[in-house]
Amino acid sequence: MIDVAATYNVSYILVQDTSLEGLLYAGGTFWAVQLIWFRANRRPSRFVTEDDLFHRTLNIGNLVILGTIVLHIRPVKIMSNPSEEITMFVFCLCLVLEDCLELIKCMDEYFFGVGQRVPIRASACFEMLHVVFTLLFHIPALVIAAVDFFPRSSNYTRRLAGEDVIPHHEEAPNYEDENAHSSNYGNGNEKSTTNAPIMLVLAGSWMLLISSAIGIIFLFPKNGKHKEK
Amino acid sequence: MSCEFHHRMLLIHELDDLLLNSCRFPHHRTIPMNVGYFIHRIGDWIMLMLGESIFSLIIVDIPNETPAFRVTFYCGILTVVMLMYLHYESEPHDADTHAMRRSKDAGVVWNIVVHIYSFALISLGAAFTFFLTNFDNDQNYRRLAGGNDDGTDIETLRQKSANLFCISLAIIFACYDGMTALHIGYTAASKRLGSTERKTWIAVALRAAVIPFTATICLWETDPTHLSYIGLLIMVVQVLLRKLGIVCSNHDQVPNPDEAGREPEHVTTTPHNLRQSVLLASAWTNMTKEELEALGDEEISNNFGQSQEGTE
Repeated sequence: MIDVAATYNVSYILVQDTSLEGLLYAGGTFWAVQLIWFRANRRPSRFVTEDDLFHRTLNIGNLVILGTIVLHIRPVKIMSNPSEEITMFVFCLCLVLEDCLELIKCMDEYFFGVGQRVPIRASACFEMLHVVFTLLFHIPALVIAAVDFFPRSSNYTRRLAGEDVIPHHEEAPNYEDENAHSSNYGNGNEKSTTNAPIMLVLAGSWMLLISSAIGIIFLFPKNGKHKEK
Repeated sequence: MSCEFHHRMLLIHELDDLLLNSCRFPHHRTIPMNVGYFIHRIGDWIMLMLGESIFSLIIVDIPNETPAFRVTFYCGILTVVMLMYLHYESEPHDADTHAMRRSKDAGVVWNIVVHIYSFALISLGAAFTFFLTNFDNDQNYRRLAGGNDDGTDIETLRQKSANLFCISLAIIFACYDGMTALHIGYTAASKRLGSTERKTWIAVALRAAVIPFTATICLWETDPTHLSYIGLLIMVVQVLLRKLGIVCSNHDQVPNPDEAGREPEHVTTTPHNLRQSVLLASAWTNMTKEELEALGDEEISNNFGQSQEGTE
């Protein structure tokens, strides 16, 4: 059901903005959610997990993080403005947390997996490699979003509290303040900086897909030998 | 003390092993995937995407529903229904005939195609929302399309929505054909095409031609109502071409278990099997269960075996 809301929000991004930027944000958010979905189905298709407190907590954590991600899939105007809106920061933070949860699950498989230990370890390591690969993209995205957002967080807090925050440049417009405006809302060269987090997220999803495809096609044993007992 | 030291050493060894293994690609065996479970879940995911397209149609609420709006709406619904039909025609219902089981390479490529296909379905839903919003006043249309009330040309927005619709639909068609080809595999596909007549080749060529045609409709038509008509017409053509392909080549779209290399399950008709069938089917005969059980093997073979063959 959370994925239903995610697809609706992604579709709304496209409805709001059909430009290339809209496609970038729709694709970035959609494939990030799809990656989480694929990961969530990878484990049950290989292992039977115990119905204990630890695994239940992990699953609940997964759902909470996914729900938060979906909540922060917003139109381009909001997501592309990480200096004023918290949306992109929380989105990237949740992706990193999701990766961390996935790492914990892989460690669980690696150390406590019951059955054929060697294949289980190999499978866990392969998945861990995937997660570390995505973290290489998600952590920089989070850092960029955090660097953009936190110096201006006071305005955001005041606006959340219902205050009518008037930006400094609107009080006394001059040439210098015009520059301040462009750095806040992003245009020209600044726009590429504000789109950097979502570009990294999109690159993370697709680079993972392509690299794992290359790995499986060229490096895995041929003729189904990787499945042999 | 020594026990604690031993445990620590064991943990260090495990962590060391983990770090070494993480840096190494698994050349040795791994845990195979339960393909049946996974394709079932993928089916759920695609159903969710198709549901999103329906959702995008239903959610549009405009005050004055004109006949043109209703026609566009129902064209959209029918298009999504046919997409669902085409999806199930493109996907096997059995794990043994799936690309992931046939070959790891085909499985990986199929996985990438599913990613693209899912996003194309979402884009198509967004295009339908655009089409229906078009029947509201221009100002709302501009706002929904992310344009400004003062500067954005309505024709530009129509062109963008037409581009989104046509390209999404073309990508979806290409993905259907790609997924079918991946399930069949190169060897089986070449065997099919090599042993078929010219009309099959025509059907295949027409199917391939539909994709670029769909992608280029937006170059000459941007009206949402006309586009929804054309979209539905193309869907009907696609469905007919699929049926034509099945009739011409005497093959299903997806491979059957024989093609996938699995041994067919031969059912031999023995008196024992017939007896079991007859006993189970006592409700359709005038004989009681006791009378049926009292029958000899020869009587069963002579009576029910012959009648069954006669029916066939």
